[in-house]
Amino acid sequence: MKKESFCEVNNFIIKGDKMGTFDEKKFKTDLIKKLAEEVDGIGHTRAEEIITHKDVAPHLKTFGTFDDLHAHIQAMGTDKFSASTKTALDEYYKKAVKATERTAKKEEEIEETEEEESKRLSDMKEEDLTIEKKERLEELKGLKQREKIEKEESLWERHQRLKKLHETAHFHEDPGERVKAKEELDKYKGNRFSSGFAHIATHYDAIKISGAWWLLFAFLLFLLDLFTGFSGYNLEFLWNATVYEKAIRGPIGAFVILYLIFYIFSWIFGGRTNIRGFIIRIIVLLLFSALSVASGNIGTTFHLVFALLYWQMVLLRFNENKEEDKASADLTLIEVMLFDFFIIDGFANLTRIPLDDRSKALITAVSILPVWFFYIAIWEKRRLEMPWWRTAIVFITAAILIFSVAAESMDFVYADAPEINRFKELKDKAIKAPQNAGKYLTNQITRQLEFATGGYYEGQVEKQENEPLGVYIKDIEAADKEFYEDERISVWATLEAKTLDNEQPVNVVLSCEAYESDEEDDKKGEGIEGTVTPDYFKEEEKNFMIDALEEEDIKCEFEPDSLKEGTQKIKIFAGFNFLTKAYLKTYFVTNDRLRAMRREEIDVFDFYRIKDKNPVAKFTNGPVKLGIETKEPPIGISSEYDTKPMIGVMLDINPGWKGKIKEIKELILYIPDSMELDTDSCDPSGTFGISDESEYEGYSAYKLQDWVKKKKELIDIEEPKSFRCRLNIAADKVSKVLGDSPFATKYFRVSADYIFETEKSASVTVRESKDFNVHFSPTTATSSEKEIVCIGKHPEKNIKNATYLFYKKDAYKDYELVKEGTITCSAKECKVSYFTDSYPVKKDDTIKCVMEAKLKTKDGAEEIETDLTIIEIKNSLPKIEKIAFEPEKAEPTASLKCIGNFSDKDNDVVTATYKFEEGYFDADNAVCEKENNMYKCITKEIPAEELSTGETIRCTITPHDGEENGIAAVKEIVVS
Amino acid sequence: MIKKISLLVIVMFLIAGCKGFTTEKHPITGVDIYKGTDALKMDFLKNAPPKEVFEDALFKAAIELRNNGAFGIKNGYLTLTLEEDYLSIDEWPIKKPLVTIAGDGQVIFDLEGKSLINPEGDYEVTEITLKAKKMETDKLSETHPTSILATACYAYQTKATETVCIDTDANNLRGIEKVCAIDEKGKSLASQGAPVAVTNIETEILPKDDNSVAPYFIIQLKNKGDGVIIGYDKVREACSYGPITNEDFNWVEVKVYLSKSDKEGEEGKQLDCNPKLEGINSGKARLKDNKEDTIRCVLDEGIDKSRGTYSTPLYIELDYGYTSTISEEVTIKKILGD
Repeated sequence: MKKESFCEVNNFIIKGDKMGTFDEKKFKTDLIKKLAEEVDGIGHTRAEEIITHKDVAPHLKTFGTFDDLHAHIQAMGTDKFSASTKTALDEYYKKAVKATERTAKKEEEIEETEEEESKRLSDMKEEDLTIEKKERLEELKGLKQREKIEKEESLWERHQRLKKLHETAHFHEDPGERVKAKEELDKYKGNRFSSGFAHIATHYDAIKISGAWWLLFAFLLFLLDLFTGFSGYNLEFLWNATVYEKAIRGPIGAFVILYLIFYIFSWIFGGRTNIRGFIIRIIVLLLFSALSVASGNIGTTFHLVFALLYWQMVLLRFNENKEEDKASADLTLIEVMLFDFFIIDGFANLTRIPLDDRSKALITAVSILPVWFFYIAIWEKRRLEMPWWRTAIVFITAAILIFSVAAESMDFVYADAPEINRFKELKDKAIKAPQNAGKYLTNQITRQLEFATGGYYEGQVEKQENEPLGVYIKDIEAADKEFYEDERISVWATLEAKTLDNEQPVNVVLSCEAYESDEEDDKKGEGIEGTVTPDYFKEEEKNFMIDALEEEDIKCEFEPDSLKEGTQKIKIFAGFNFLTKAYLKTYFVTNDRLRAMRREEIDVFDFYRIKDKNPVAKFTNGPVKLGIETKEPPIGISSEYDTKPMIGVMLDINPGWKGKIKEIKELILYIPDSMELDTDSCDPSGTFGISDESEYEGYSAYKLQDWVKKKKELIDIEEPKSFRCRLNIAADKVSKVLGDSPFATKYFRVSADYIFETEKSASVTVRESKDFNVHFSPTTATSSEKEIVCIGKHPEKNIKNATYLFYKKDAYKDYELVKEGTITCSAKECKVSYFTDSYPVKKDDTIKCVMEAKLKTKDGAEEIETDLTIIEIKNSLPKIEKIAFEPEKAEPTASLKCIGNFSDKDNDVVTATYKFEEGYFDADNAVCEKENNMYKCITKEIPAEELSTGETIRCTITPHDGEENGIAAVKEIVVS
Repeated sequence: MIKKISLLVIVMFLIAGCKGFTTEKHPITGVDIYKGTDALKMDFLKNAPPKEVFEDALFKAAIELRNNGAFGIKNGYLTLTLEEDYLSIDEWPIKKPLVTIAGDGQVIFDLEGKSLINPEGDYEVTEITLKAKKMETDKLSETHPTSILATACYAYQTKATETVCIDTDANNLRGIEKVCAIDEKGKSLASQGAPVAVTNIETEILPKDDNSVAPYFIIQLKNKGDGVIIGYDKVREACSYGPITNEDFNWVEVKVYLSKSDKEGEEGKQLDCNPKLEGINSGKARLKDNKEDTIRCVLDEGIDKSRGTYSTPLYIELDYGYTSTISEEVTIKKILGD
């Protein structure tokens, strides 16, 4: 029995004593084949029975050689196999024992002879040695040396040695060395595994090196795609005849003909050609160069060239021995190319997720496109086993993919990443990537659901020159790389705005907040508020106004000591009013004609030469995507009865934008005046109401009603929102719709005026201050605050005690000392409270805390350091004291109203707005009256006839103190 | 090697054959007006309308109308369909071939077909002045593509005359030499200068009684044009929003006469065709499936056997309406700086 490693059987590269990576299925197949060859008369079926036997299969990996396998079989007994297998095995073992005995005897004899001869020759005197004898002695010594080496070296070492010999024998510069190496290799002749092993190892190594290069090339191809914008093709593209025409008539056609002539010449005079390869080349060339020529994208050519080179230089070369392997190489080429060119579109069609061009390009270019890269890295792994950095590249690419998917939801790609803490931010993104990818998927699923339920009305951005439109926050970055707690922290950004209509200026409201970076889902209002400048309209709820295209540098500042030590995420919010317009083209034809033509299998669009068979709504660029959809065109109308096709409008955040629709100010649907909107058919009824004013001639305007706009689900919109109604095309209006024509094209238009809030973030690092530092806690305070604490801290030194001074100043006076004293401190911190009950404060007051600390240095000496901090008292929100219905019990016999009582710490005049929801819809201003330092706000009455038993009425009253809204008070009542 | 070189030569010929070295030779013969599958051939003239126009501007669209068929068009309708938000008709002068205005964007026209004295058929151009409206509706669009459709609907006719063999002695009982023989496969015809063509006529002789036989013809028809067949009585409706049903599409009235040609005054015997148009002998072919149909016509009164075997013309007349549409896209450009 031959002592071969199981790994050798399977042609695996041995690393030390361990087997390399292996394919278990192939491993077993090879073992069965080998066993069938080894054991006479056992055949393939019986060999399979042995290898797959339940007592053998689990142990295969533990065997080092075939001896181990046979020892295991003998130990478990051949009885466990079928009778025929048992007979074959028993016979084989008998023969093997005899053969082993014979070989051992023979080897012993040879060894003795060689041993004796060596001894005899060594003992001979120098002068007695002839040249032949000297050579024989050297040979015997060499033989011994080689045996010794072989006994001691590991399989891996032997592999390396033989490989080196093989390389020397073929490639060494010195012919003498080549001859020597060949002679040495010849000694391994007969040991087919040793020589074959060396050959395979050399071959594999060559491929390994080229494999690494190929992977690198595939990676470069992937990077190139980001520049060329290559994003695959729609499969339908293949069937477009003009593509072929262009390709065949163009230079590719010439190339194909030249290639054909060249092929025939080489067949006649060269003798060696490959018909199959030729056909494959022609098909691939025609097919993909058609794409290349027709699309005009250079990226297609890169992909084509790469594929053909890889096929020629790797796939075919590696499979050069067997015909079926060549066929497999061709198949691989076609499969990978089909994936490479068409998978993206297939993917997009499969999911039916309406992707906009940018998302599609991103997903295409980054996440799925590197088909060749992944193919080489994963599928070609065994053939092109590569060094450690292959794994590194795969990991880096995978990381980029995760970032990209995450970026879809975090707007990371389009953000101008801040210079500072870029690495940290990247890390943060990486950590949050899976979570964000999840968010992205959830978002897509929501859209998919909306789509599935028929509420996602598609739209495309209208092509125009002066894109983009809207208000963008760009180049957000902190003023410094690091800040100290007692420093003012500033973050700068550029606000860029382009409005849709120069006559309608955009009002921008800016704000900024800081969040501790590890906070999840930081929302506006939950962070520490900063101050944004410029603010040109201090008295109004806007920072500045934009007429046309403008750029403004904005700054967000945080008072010293307002942000804690650590990494802080600073978000700048920009709210602005914006207008988006959309239109949808659709076609009309009479119902009887439509039906007749369909029955006669005449395509209406083909007959009327309509190319745009399924028009998609076009909307002006901006933060909101506005979609419109109607019944699938052409819409059939009748002169015998009224036709009521559906029309839907959808608002969604335009991909690439981050933010939300704060509020819809106006949503107007324009319907051609030959038809009307059936407002009762809307869900809920009366969502839209006809308006007297129409911006467009020949159109009727239908406005989204105020009570709908105030609904909770239409405030802070982050997910798609759709409205659906029916049109009413009266029978007697058919002639108006169609004119004297059998076919008509009409447009539906929508205009949405809304407030959008976008945001952008940057990270800053806040360090503990170096010196004695004083700050207030909380960092912002209102007149409702009971206690404001002044805290003095030193980062290193202990504070023995401190004296403090509290000053207060209002709008009309300078600082006045209100409180002073001395406090003992605990180690490095001192605290003293300012109680507003004892020393009342009102809004716009400023409190100053001055602290002088006695510090102990390390050597015991005393030092004095002084610091101060200031806090401005902010407006207190009006507070709800009570909300109730009047009468307390709602009945359909009496009208009902809602009353809210509010107080305001700053004695501001309180006004309020209210809305009724659920069983009754209304929204307006409440009437507020002051009674004993309280404001009593009363809503309009709900007439008794509007109340029905069992209905729930929800009343929401939102107070306003002239500056800000207070927290809304909500009360529900069931009509009984 | 000789085999390979021969193959090379063949391949070279094949490659050369891609382009071809032949020169076209026109036969010097008289013009056959009953040839071709066109009737009305409509096209927009090059650059009329232009590919791009500015908003709030007038521009011309010109439609060339050529009657390539052998039948004259009388009272044909031509309807222009525009996107009314973007385009309107400013002027459409009524001059040859237009006869009158039929409606908003609709005119009536006449156009003579090919004849011996007018072998090319009538060719006229009608010019329309269109106005690109101001793009007020699209605040930010700088361009807007819009389509101009022109639909023509007209009554048309196909006339086919073919000599057929009437063999009253189908079983050859008389044993005399016959002047003609019936081809079992029938006679194939290509076109008759009209979009609906008679493509095959098969003749069978059915025994009627002891003394007479009834000639039976299986006639194949095909719509070879690129338009759609409509009933000749629905020509106006086809070009407007008037009522139309599927029964009005793809049908042709078929009249078949034996011993008649297209010469004036030559009376023949009208055959009884099936499927039949209600109340009359004419057949009704429905060219829906694959744009073709077969109709069977028989001479019910029969032919006396004593007349022997003879050749005679079979005259087929098809009456139908025909409609087709052409379209042209125009991009309206906004005047910037307004």
